[in-house]
Amino acid sequence: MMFSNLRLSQPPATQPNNNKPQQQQILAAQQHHNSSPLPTQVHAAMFFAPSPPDIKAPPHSPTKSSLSLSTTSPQPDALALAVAQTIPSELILHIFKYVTTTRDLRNCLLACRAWCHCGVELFWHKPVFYNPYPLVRMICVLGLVNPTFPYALFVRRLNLSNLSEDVSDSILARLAGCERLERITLAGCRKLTDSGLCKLLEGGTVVQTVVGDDNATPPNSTTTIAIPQGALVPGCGATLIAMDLSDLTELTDVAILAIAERCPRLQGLNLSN
Amino acid sequence: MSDPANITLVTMDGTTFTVPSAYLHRSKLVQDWLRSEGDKQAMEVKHVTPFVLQGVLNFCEIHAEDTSEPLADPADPTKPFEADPRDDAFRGMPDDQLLQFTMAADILQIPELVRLTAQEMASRIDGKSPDQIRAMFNPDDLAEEDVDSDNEMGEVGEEGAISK
Repeated sequence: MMFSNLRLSQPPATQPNNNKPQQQQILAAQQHHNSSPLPTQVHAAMFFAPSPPDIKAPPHSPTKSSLSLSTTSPQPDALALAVAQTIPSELILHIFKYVTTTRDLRNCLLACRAWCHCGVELFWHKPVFYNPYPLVRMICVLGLVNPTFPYALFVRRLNLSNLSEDVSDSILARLAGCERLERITLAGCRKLTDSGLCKLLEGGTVVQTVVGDDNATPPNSTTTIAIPQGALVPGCGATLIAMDLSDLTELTDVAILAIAERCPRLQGLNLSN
Repeated sequence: MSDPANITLVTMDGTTFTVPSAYLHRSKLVQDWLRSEGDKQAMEVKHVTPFVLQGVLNFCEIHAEDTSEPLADPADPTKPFEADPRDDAFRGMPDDQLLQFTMAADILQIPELVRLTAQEMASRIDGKSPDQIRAMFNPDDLAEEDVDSDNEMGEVGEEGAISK
């Protein structure tokens, strides 16, 4: 196995540990954490059994000093630490997209701040609801005066048809801050009228919530105080691409005219029944 | 003058690998390089270690004959993705190595390998608590700020599912 003959030079013992170039920060970090003697040989073939016959290892050690790989590292954790901090954010996002459940994604976001910044928009991209309580919680969060992230801007798709019996005009009006909303499904939400829909599209003054003094308590009906501070929001008509309003029996021409006026990008509209 | 049938890659420490160019037809980075600077002796892949590049090239060799359509988006979970037994070596490697391969796949822009490694990474994250994930990757410390956002994002996804 040619590759197993490959030898990497060992850095001189006197070499300072803290002046590596930027692009070698992974190795620098490992070196920093790793004061024991460094491995000198790469056991790559150990893992990938048959190496291609035409891959050539150089006969001489490379001139530039470098450290070996994690297989031979006595402290793999130190390397993992360094690597985890150098993953490009789009790659983290690739990984997050393959995470199976929303709960798993939430756990990722809670693992560290960098990951949270990276994945929070994906997390809020398309909230799905199976019972009303999370929707109420979400509306409370959307109304926070100083949220950690601009959550309302992350929401791109909303499907409230699972909660058709619970969605009222006032709930819809409080979603008007989602000014980047692209698709909304309200099929079967029979309680909705022109007023709620117009407020969603046109925005206006939206009630904000202030979390009580105990910041560690989740915002819910007992710890939040609603004060009509009047945050002015533009409504989400401008960005909507598709709306499903089927079975909204209370709607009249007023809503249809509002849609025509406020939704320049609309491509799909379901008004059946 | 380099041989058009082969390509030589140089890793961060100067180690060189010469492989048939056909192996790397899925690497956008290599294809772009061949178009613009293909007359040069060797292509530098500075941020990849020899061990990782060796593994990536093994993957490329295994899949050199594949005729499937090139992946446009490596992270499109709507596309069905079946595990290939030839890739089992990647699925069995330790977390830190897998992470390095994920990054190398991203650097070399091989969507098929990004998908494989990202998907395997995600499957290891599935079902783990934040603490377990931290132990896996050991990223920077949890700050107080994140506790707040825990409360804020607490329930939205609780009953939900990612868009799929």
